[in-house]
Amino acid sequence: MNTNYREYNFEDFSRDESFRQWVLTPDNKNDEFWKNWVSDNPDCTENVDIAKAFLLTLQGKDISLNNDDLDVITDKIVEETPLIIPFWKTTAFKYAASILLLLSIGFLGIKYYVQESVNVASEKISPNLSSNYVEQENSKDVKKQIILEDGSQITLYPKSKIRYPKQFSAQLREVYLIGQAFFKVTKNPKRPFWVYTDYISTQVLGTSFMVKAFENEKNIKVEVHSGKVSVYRREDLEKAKLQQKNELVGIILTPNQEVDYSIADARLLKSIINRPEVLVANSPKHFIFDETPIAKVFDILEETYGINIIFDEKNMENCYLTASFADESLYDKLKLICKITHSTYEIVDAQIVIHSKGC
Amino acid sequence: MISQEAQPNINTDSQLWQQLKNGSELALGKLIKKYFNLLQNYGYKFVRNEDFVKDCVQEVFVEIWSRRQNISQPDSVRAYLLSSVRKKILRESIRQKINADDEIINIENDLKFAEFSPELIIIEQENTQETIKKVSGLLNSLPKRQREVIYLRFYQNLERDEIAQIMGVNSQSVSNLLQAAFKTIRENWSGLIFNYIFLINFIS
Repeated sequence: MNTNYREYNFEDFSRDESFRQWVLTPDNKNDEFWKNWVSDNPDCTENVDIAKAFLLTLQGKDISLNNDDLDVITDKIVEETPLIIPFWKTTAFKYAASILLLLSIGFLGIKYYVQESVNVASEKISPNLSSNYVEQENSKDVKKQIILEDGSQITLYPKSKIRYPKQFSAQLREVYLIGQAFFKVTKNPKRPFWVYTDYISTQVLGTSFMVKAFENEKNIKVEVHSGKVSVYRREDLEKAKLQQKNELVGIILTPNQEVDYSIADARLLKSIINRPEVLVANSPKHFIFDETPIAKVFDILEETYGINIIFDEKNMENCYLTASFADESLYDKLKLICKITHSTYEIVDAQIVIHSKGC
Repeated sequence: MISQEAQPNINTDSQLWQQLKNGSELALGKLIKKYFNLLQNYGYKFVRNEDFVKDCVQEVFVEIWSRRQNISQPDSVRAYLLSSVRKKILRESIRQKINADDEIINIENDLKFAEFSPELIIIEQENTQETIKKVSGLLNSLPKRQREVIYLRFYQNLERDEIAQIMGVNSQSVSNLLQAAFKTIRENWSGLIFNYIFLINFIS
């Protein structure tokens, strides 16, 4: 032992590993060494004594476990602790159908805490997306077209960024987006298509859709124009993975429906999109109603927009509509109908509810 | 003065951490062997309940193990662990206080560092016992924050930055606390025959 303990002051002793071991976990070997050292250097006894007292005082009651106990704890942790894997590594998804989806973030202009850059966030998402990926950024003012290796098309909007693997995995097609993009996904039920954003993820059960998810925004919105998608909160997916459950807590959206996700509340709220589109391909542009029973009118609207309309049939059985509709929005049509039938409407859970006093 | 904390030690810790992140049970076991008792010792300074403290320390390792794929690499593993235990104990104390557990008494908004109560039974030599009584009396006369700083500096063998991180203050505050503690110690040390050189080195 070359260390010159004679020159050690109190602080040196209290931080010296050999000294600490002797004081705190004495064994025969270190005890012998230090006892010999003290008897060889009697003038240092005082210093050693105080340093020892200091360490023992700081230690207080010794509640140490022995190595066997610690091994038991280690084993227990290893055996009983489930690994928390980011949900996007899961593969428990079955199908795809065809869709048109608009995912958009409600713009509230409030600076918000989307702290993760696309890099960090997508690294968490999937190994496919953290290495061997392609990242495209659209900093121009016009939309940018991208074709993926599976034939799917992406229209990337300005100020948006998308990341996707050069080669999709055999089970999943996953992309990560910040900003806005329109997707036309090649149908492949065996390889579901996922769009990840920071707070919500959308599984595409079909072929085409739009995603808009900018940073620094407080609300996220997913709008479906045709087809079907399911939207999940990130934490729900993580939880589902953790509990090895196959049921996921998500919201399924059909055309003209939207879901609003408020980052502050962390809640998904289903509603109807701002400008519902006519879904039926051959539907007439003009609707002419001539003393048509209101139930029939609502039937037609339901079919045209794919949105449920709930009303009290009994209450409105004497309501008839005579009107001609061109390409007003659904809401304008509803306003007119309500005016004529002395009723009001509201949107509840992506359905239209008509309140009427009867005609 | 000896050099700063041995460099190889730091490397070993971060290597172990990296291995743990890769799923090495061996690395987990080594970290537990190395730190579990030190962490328990720290926790016990706040809450005098061995089972509670043991559970908290264990829970910290459970969380690390379960999140190993996403967890970041801390600058100082030791400081990270101590800081995690401190937070865990604070949180759990508050939670269990709600459940009306009377044993948990040290709660305000922050943890209170308890008085030192060394076990005198295990000491054979009488003069060491005397010294311990004096030292603990002196240290216990310090305010709790100063006690904690002294403890982290000398028992847990930490640098100022690490102490700052654990206690959630800046490094300057740590230095201030240390200096205030030393001032008190110097003024009241006369009861002990003592090598004053150490105090001078202490502060420099």
